[in-house]
Amino acid sequence: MSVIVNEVRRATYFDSMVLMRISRQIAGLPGVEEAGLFIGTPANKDILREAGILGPDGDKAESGDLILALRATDNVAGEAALVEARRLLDQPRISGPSSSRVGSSRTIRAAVHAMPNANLALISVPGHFAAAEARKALRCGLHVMIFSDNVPVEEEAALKRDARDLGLLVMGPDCGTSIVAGLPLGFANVVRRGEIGIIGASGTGIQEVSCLIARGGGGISHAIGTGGRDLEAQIGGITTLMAIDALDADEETEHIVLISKPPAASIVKLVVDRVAKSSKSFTICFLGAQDFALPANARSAPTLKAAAEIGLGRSLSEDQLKPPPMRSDRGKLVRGLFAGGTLCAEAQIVFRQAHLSVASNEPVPGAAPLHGRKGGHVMMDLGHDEFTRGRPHPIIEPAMRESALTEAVRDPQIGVILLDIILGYGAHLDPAGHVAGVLAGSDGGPLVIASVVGTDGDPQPRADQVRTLSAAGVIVAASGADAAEMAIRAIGTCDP
Amino acid sequence: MKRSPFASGSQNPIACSIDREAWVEHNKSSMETTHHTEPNNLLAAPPRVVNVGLELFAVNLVSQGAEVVHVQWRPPAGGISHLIGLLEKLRS
Amino acid sequence: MQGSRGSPLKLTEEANQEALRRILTGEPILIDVVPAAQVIPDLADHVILHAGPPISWEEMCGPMRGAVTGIAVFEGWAKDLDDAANKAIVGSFAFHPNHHFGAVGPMTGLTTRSQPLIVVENSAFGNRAYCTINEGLGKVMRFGGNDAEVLNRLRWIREVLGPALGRALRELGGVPLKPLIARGLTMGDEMHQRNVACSSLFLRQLAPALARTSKSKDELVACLEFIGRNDQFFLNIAMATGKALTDPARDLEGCSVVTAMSRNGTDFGIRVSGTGDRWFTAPVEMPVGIYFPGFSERDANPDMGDSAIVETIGLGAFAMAAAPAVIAYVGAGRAAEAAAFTRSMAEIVVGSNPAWVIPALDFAGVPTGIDLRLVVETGLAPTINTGIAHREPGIGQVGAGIVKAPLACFEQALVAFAETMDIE
Repeated sequence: MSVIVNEVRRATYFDSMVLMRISRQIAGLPGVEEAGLFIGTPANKDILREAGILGPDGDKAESGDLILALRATDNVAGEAALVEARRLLDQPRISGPSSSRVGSSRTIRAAVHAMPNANLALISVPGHFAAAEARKALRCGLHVMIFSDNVPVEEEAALKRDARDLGLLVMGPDCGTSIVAGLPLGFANVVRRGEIGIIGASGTGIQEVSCLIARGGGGISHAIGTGGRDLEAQIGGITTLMAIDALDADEETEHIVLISKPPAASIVKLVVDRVAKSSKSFTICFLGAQDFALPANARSAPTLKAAAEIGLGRSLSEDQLKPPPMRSDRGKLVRGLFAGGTLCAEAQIVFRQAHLSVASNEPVPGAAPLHGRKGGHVMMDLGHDEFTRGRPHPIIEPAMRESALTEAVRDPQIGVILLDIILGYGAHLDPAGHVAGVLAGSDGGPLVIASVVGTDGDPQPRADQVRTLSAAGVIVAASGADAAEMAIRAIGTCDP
Repeated sequence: MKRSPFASGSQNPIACSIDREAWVEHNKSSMETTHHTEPNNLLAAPPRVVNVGLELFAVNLVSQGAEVVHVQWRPPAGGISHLIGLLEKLRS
Repeated sequence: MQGSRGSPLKLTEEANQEALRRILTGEPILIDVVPAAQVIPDLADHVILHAGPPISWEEMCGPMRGAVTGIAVFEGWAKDLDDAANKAIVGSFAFHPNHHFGAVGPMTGLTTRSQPLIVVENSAFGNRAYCTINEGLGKVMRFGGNDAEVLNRLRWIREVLGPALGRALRELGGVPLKPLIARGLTMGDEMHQRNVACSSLFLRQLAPALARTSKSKDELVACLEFIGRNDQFFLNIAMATGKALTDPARDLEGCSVVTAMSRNGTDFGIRVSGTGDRWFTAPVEMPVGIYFPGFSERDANPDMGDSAIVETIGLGAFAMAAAPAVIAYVGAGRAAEAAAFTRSMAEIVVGSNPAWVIPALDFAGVPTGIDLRLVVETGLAPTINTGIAHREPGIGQVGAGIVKAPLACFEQALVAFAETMDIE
């Protein structure tokens, strides 16, 4: 009979990444079925409850407390795991040479006092607290980038309205990527500076477009993340509109690329009306949406690759590798396993453009939801909440994609696997190496086609990652859209 | 000359909030004459960042030569919600 | 509902600025030493003032009880220590906090009618604050000592040293304390655990006047020797200075500045300007530090004394960056950690003191004006440098270290403070 073990440490806070690392170590101990170390916010308690490891002690924890929760086969294993968890929490944190150079404070106030010319707060605290911290930053005259998600939408709306009154920009919540004046913020790549500005509701969308532009010889003035909900009716595109204002006024920027999933019609109009007033040219990429009225200074792009091409003013097609033929003893299904949600959406769009049926846990218009469906092409967004609640994102930890990948490799119905490998600051330092390791010794498996989102300037240089993948037999496409197109070519045009 | 973090004088570290109000008043009056406010000072140069939360971000920024101060964030008031509520009302 | 005063934030910010202004513009002068009853008329027989917030005999710790019985004998209210204890049990003595009568006292901090008190006058505002004379190190009443040696020393202080100091100070016209403390900060003092520089500067200034006014050479020698061998002599003067500087900042409407921090060996108490004379108390914490050879945590008494008034004006642990040597008492610390304490305390204050600067921090002023709201928000409780007494009365100091004010005091205070602004 499994036992649930909880321990609560009052008024104790640890960085979520530290906690996740420790959670995974504890989960791997003998006799431990499930483990999680979390700050006791309501959202985190839900995660623990759903995982079946929240007991009455953990339930009483407050948002400032730390919950150690686990489920073990018996009391002995549970107790041993708890002892190890305590030991891992209490050991001195390893600080690298660069972290010791960072001055630190306990409050935003003191930080601004220490660095009076500060102009941006990058906030990555639990979502429960993020809006309040953002407000403190606004009060100190800082623009804000909120990496945190799980911020209630009403709080986002109020925050953005207040920020607008102060002339300050709120990038986010759930904004993973921005690049300002050449400085990558959050999860972002090292890209050449140039005259193309990006405004994006999606981090990985910004990453793909900025990298494609850079690899295509162009450059990025700024990439402003707006957060995933900015173009919803309740928010009304406040940040998007302010970002358009900013890039309009920015001398470095000559062309602006807008990236989002398709907004509601009223918001589309709001955005398009504002675009029309600009003297600069725009590319509007409402992924998958084509039919909306465009002003004279804008063109529409259905995919991220198309958006990059229009921005660059030239085609990105190069000599595409011809994929080797699929093995005849395998099925012809395509399974996409994506860390980047927007790349998953783009692949679906490419398949729909080719009139192929496709299903996904995050279906675009025209694609089918997953549940109940058997067979058919499937594009999985493994970075979506359902997979990442309480777990590291696959961009940070490729092992999170491992079981899905192994299962796909073993599935005889699957002829092609599509992968996105995302590089840059914040990402795992060798995702290609990890994939290569998983695929080693899987001869006779499906074709694996990957796109690599990154540049040679990244901490994990793209050329090295491509080399590692190629050596493992992975076919590396020039972009996410190219990878999807290559998959379609590989399976022929038969609809399964 | 590097300025001391707590330069002498009865300097109020929270003065930024009062300065902010004056700024808003000024800004609001000038907003009548412009269509939109333009956060250009953000884009003019690489941002000087106050990093609140994940230490990884501060470490990455430092390795890129950015100016950053890391805030070793803790939930305010130990996460006790009624105290957080009082503090927020007292700040209004 | 906010009342008609406008925004709470604005009210508090302005009140806090005023409180800080008052603290910073105080001019503390050590003007005299006089018998306690002369400056505290309410000090009748059987009235005993003690350190910390209000406490009863039953709640008192060992050293406090030892001091009480000793002082009762000293003042002639009891035949001997046992008689004194019996009288205490039946409620013969009236116990009150020093703070309620304009005074402060270190450790047990007992103040009674015949003891000579240091008088510090804040000439900018006209208020005065009092403290007993520091008895020296070792077996002393402030650590609960009460034997013949302790009482004899107190008698000598009452009959010889007190009056001698008084004459010398009056002849000198008083000693300005603000510049003296400023110099001490540049010489490695923080005015709580380290007072050797200020004690030396004080003696240097006073000695000629002592010489001119002393009744005999023997008396002069005895006074000079007594003061000269006590590295902590200035502590009591620094404490009276703290009280003299903070008293004008009390009772300001909407003000969240802490005006007193104090301990009685059982409870820690704070007062906040906007909530007037209310004490907010919680059990004291145990100091963490280094013990003298032969002693350990098992021997330690809980935290005690009004000396935290020194931190309340930005000295002591708040100025630790000026006194890296104190880090040795915290144990396993590097000198750079002293600066970290000061930086940390700077996150919970209203401002800093331009008159009291720390060279090692680029001449930054000491962090001044603890803001209740910031303490609760950050969870950074004020840190206090303190001596550690033996839990048994009469043995004396067994170590030194740091202790934190309990957050619970500030959490309670915040609720009460918000109520004064009609906020719940």
